[in-house]
Amino acid sequence: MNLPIQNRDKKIRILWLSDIHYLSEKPIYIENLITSFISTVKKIDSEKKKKISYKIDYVIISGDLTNKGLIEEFEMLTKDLITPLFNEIPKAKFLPLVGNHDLEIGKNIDAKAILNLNSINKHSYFSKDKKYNNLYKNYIDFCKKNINLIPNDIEIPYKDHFKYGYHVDTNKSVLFILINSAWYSLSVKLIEFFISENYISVIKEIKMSLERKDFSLLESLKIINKFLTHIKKNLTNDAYAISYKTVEYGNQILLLNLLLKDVKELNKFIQLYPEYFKIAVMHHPENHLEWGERFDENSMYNLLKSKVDLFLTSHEHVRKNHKHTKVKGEALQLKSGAFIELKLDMELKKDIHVEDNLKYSTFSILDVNIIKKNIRETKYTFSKDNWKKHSKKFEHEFLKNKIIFNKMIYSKTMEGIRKMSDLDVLGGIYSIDNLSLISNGIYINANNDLYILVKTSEVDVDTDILYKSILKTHTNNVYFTYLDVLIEKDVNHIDDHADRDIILGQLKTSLFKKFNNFRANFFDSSGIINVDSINQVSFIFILVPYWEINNFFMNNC
Amino acid sequence: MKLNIDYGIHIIFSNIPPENDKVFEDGKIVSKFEKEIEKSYFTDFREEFGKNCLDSSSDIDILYSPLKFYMLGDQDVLYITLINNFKFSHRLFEPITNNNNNFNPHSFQSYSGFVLNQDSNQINKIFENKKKPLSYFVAVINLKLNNGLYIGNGFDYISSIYSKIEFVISEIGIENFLINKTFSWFEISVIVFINNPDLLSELLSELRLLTLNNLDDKEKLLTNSLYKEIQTDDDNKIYSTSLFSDSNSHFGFSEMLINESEEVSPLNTENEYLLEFYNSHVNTPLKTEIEWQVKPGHFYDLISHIKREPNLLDIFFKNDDRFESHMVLGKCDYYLAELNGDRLISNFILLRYIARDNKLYEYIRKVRTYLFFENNKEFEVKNTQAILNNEELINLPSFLKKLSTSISEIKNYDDKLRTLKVSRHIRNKVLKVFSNFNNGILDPIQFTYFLDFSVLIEKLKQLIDSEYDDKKTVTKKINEITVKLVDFIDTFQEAYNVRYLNGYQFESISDFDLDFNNSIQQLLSNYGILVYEYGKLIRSDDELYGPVIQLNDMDTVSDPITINYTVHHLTSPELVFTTITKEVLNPILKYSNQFPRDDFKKVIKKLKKAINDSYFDDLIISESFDLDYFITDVIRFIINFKKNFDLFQHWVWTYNFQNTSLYDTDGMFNEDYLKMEMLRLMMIQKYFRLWNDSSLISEKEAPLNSPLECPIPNLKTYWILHFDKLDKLTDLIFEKYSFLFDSYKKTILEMEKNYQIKSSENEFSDNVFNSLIVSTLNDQYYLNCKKISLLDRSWNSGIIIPKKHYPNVLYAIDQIGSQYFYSNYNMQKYFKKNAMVIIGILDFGTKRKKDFIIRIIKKSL
Repeated sequence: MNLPIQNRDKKIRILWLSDIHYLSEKPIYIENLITSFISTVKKIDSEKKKKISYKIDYVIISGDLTNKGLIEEFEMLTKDLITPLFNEIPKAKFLPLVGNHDLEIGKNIDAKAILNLNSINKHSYFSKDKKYNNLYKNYIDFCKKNINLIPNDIEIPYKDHFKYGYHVDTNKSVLFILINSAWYSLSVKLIEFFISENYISVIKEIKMSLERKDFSLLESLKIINKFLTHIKKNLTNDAYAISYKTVEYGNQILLLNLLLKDVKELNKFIQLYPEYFKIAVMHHPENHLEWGERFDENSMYNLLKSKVDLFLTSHEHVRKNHKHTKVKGEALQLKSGAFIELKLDMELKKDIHVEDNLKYSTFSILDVNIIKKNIRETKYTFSKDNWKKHSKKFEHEFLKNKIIFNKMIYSKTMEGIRKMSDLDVLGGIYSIDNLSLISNGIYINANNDLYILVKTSEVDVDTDILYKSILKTHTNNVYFTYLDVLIEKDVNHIDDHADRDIILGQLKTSLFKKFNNFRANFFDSSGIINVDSINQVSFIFILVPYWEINNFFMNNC
Repeated sequence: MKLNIDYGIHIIFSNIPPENDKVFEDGKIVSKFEKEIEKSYFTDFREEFGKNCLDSSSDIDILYSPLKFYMLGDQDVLYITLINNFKFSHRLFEPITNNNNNFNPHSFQSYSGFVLNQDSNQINKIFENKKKPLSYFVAVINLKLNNGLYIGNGFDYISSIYSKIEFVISEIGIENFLINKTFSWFEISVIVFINNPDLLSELLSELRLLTLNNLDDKEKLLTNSLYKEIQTDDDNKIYSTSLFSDSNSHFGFSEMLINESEEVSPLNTENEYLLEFYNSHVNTPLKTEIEWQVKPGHFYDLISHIKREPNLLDIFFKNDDRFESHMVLGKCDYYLAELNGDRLISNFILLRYIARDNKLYEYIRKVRTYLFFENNKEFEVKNTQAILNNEELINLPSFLKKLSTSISEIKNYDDKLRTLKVSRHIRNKVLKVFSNFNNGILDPIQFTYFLDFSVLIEKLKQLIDSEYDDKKTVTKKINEITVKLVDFIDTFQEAYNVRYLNGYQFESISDFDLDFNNSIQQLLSNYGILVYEYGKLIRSDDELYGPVIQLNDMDTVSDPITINYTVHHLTSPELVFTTITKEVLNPILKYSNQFPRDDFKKVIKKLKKAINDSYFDDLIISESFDLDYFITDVIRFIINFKKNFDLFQHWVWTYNFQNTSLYDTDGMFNEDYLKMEMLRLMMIQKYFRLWNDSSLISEKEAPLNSPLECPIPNLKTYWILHFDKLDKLTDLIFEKYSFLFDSYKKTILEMEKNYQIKSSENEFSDNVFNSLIVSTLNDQYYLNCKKISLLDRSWNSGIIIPKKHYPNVLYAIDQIGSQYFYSNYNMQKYFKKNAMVIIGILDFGTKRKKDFIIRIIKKSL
């Protein structure tokens, strides 16, 4: 049977990959890599330990699903990887995140305008300006096509645009926060695009001049300088700085500041459920942030970092031995490698042996214990046509936080429960459908177990009725169910910072004593009862704390 | 001859505190103290038992209802009680009433044991009729057996002696008697109910004259005796050694003689019984000396008081007011000569007077009467026969020296301790340990109990030697050495007190131990030998092992030098048997290399990582998951419980449910402990499911393969809360790390094999361990119908809740310690079986002591 207070460890298993850079056309060995991946995942998912589930719960792809954000690339990705993968692990949920490579920079894009945007305008451009949503179009279409894989209870606004948002898994007590940083590192692409649009002839000239052997270096530089001067005239200093001095780093601001409303919601949620395991996913690692944002302790990023447990980032294609970052009081930061790590120059692919070419390809399995707050990362790397478990496992321990009593949820739960019938409450708590009333306040299920909802600190059941019910039903177990929210107790007296478990412990001690008293008296009242006939009946005390039933009942209220 | 034991006996000698109110009730004078102690110690116990008891009251009629006598000598009153539950004898001997006034200081001594009398009618006759005493007098003769004959022969010797004493008694013409085997420093206590004090003198002389020659099976006894090891050339010398090495006797008057009628002098009463006694004994000689412990400065008051009292006046004063008195050296007491010092009647009158008057105690603290028997056969014989001294015959003293620590050795350790810079007071204590040990082991009477320390003393020497050697190469904190030494000192001190201070040199002082009312040297000592021998079978290391049995109040964690049992377990051997393997293994696991402990830590660390479960983490943090437990349980399961899982869990629950320290104050078994026990059982269950052993695949092993079941309904709440989690957890442990446990299997199998070989080589061990331990555990398991039944106690008051219907078990488990019987029938059944087991242990211990002594001498402990 399913007991309400099982306090069993909640564990989730996440398949985490990133930077697939999927191309619409690919060599055979990439097909091999994917085939091998699917079968490896299948194996991982079916790792069977008696009674313990090791199934993959989530698949996170943290950006750069495709190389250029083209429709064909997304389509091929769905066909080659996403669909076969989820066919093997149908119960897993999909959480994709957009990366800079997933934005299609094409004809509809005014590259010059984007490059000339200052930081502040950039916010609105990427978040609000619908005109520029075109950048995400292919990615969003991809998400919509795979909507059945994406958890359906996922929070708005993620569901609308799949760019950012959060997802709460109440069953497993996990909170995922997905952060969009796709517009980072766009400058090179935009400049490439800008140049290809406007300077084809100049480039041709440079190319030709470089190929000509009699051409002196000085002359070549002159041509390049001329070209650069021209660009400077057309683009702002900012854009110039981005593209030529820092290339990708800095001056990139998270969208978080724009999402104030959502962040507030998020904060509230984190406060309500401090025991939830919180995972933030962002395509770019923190070293790509603007200096102030990264180091200002009041920045939204830092606030978030101090509240979440785990920060997953990608983009840099780190190698398998890359060290994680953990600062006390902050989230653990893990960086991923690329799922398909090809030599950069695609032209050379034919000459390079598969082994060398893909040996840095990697993905990870994250095993998270929500209660213990620890993570084990198992990395897989591709070698000799196969995905191999990296011998080293990365263990990350966190400290358990004290979980404080939450008056608001307590009262909400109390209100909710009071609106429900005893039958519904009991049925809900024990997940029993066919519970029925046999006598005053006593319910029975198909296994002949009796259930009683105790509403005061003393068991208020008529012993005679109970005795008769036991005799009639030949039951072996009588469950006395106490809900902490039903027991007369002045919640206002509870300290705001009181440890939730300690409060429950105290309640349990006093209730259990009274329960045992009742039990002893019941079996002692030998005057009216033939104790022998009910000697083997177990009276079972069940105390359900508000947080265990909160989610269940809130959903049903 | 196999002795059959029906009853236990409990004997109390007590003071009656002076200055307490005397009451005249139902024609009897009784002091308030006596009245209240008799109510709270005896009557209340009987009533409480009767109330919750299934049998009719006549079933327990002769039990827990004492025979009472007023004594000459140090103590005032004697209670002889027939019992069938040794818990009775450890209760507080103090009147517990709502009376606010405490009694003045008083002391008592008690001992208990088995009644050896084979004729139960005889026993019934003695205890049946309390309205009229069986005899005017009682005499208690406590006999210490000759260790040289007893060691090596065990109960064969006692049986033989029993027959002999019985014969001597009947020859003398004494009809009513009890021969008891006690647990105290002396083995035999003979109680005779006589009408003529001369019979006591005659009996005592006869008994003291008995030698091995007088026993029927003397040849066999000689062959097995310790003496035979010492004295090999001349058997005749051994045959002429005494059967006893010490005796201690008490004499008293039947209760009615002293407390009937209000008047002191029987001549002033119309009581037929008293008059009859007076008439028949008016001229009976009994030479006594009466010593008065007079408060300084009160001697004159005492004399004046005696003069004023006609009854006393007659005893001490001549017509001319003169009296004879002497000051006795020592405590400066006075001896007042009786006018008719050789007449019994004067003692009788004095006792009657004291029983009625408090005045006397204004001047004195105590009256002590010494008895002198004229007709002393021993004395006569001794003059005709040249040697009767056992010690000289056998040269025991020089033999015992071999067991002691020589002066030069002590000097050597003194030097070594100095070299080690151990503090002066610790060094002196260590030296006193050697010295006190020597004093005991060189004593022909009590050396048998000091053998318990032999291994401890050896280990202490080893410790000093090795620390001394270490010093040459390493520097240590002195504190490290001190801590180890103090451990030895404390152990010795505690055990020494129990064995020595309750011994024969301290007969007249009160029992002061909080653990028990009775001295129990024999139990402690023989359990010690049992553990020593058991350790030899299980252990394969060279480490010296022979722990001192200590009494412990809470848990029973043992170390290499001690092993702990609660006092009640000594008389409930099944509870000792349940844990004996654990206790013996504890020090192996903790202190030896047979199972590397560092590995355990690593394994636990690995498991913790692999399982990654906070519930499991909690178990590890609270030390509920412990590989020590696991290994011990595995070995217990194999050796103690012969791989019978149901038997194993039956005793695990039985033992734990009677262990009060595992409960909460509300009377509920503590949740954490339950969790731990469930885990331990599941670990064993699942380990042996993996254990590829054909002996386990049998029908009786169904419990091994089916899920664990909640033993009692009250625990179902905790049970269902933890069962699933523990079930999954244990599955996972063996799934993930079965190979780890496979590595232990080899060592465990070796131990099992080793045990089997060793026990089959030794008939004693085979007998005791394979039949006594295993059969006792099995026997009670079946008698309890394989069921665990917990005694119901009221949630609020702790008082037993009477039941209308009783479970069909031999006994219920009492959460405040050991068993509870719903009927005297069951209690008697249990007692009889149990008595044979305890006798088996005593027999084994005494027999094996011979081998133990030989080992000490050969230095091959």
